[in-house]
Amino acid sequence: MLERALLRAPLVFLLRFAAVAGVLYLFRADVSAFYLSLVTAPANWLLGGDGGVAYTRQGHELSLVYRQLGLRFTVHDIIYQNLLVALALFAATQAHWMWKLQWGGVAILTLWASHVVSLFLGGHVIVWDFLWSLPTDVRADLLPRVAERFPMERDWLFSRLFGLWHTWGRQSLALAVWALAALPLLRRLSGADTQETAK
Amino acid sequence: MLGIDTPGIDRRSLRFLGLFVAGMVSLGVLFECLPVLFQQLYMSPVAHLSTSLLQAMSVDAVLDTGHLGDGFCELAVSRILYRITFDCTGIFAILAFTSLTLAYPATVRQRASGLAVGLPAIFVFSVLRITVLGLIANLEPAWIELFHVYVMELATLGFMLFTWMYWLGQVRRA
Repeated sequence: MLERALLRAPLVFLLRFAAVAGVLYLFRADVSAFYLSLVTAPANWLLGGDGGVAYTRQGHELSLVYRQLGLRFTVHDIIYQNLLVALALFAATQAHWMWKLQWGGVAILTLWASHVVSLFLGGHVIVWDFLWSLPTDVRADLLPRVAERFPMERDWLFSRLFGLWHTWGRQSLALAVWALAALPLLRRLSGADTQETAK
Repeated sequence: MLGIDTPGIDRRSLRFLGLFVAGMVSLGVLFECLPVLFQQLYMSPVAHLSTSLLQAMSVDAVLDTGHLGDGFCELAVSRILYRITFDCTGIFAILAFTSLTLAYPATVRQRASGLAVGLPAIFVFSVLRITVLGLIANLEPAWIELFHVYVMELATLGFMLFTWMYWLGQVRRA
């Protein structure tokens, strides 16, 4: 049976989390457009910075343009959901506003760095996936030029790891930063500090 | 140890984080190595129960588990075909709850009771998640993207943390 007294704190957290997530959704389009510009610039710099290969943005749609080969890959409709998840988690946690601000900043910085790296590596996966879908003779022709620009060749492990990162990793990272920050607060909730001191 | 009002990290927090990450990685590897286990014990029952619930609510829902081995089921709602993947079933919440509970400093008995209560609760929530998506597909298909990608995704995470925090309260009381 559920105990009503134990439900209060989790329920308050859940309601606050839902409210913040709802508010963030209203601003999602604006946040997404602004955030994309913060992510694509450093990712383009990592890709060479000469404009030969670059991410370009039209509204919320992101494309990888490979000018040398005349290719354009539409990435996807970016939302960066784990950023909103992290913001909602920190905003919903009952803590001092300074704590939220500082840890929220740590979370945003960590997630931003992960987004830049995943965008940079994602470019490799997209281009190599495309290359391997071409007929052998065409691929052999393009391979030296592509390898020059994208040295990290696609292989099973890389694609697999990248897939796992997209499926599990991104959400886990947001959750991990929040859990790390909130653990002292949660230990108070569970009395674990008291138990460990008693031992 | 630094105070909780500054972004300080103590050793116990780092240990918790390490165990949580190790748990997620281990479960992720297990998931990748034994997909059949998760297909048979999780995806299939979630999909079947959701379809039964939809049918009980007079929704024209037909489930095809012929592609279960490929990692998805097909749910036809009002003759529109939807693909149910692991992402749709909220498997992340199951793995994250397990890792959080095992990483938290508590006795083996407390952890076992947390998993015994939490995992079935999240399972039931996942069934409701697919059912809600099925209802949306039936009533307002244009909203399915919003509910699938945002609303139910965050609701699942919120519910998972709600369940975990309830367990933390139980640990305290014990």
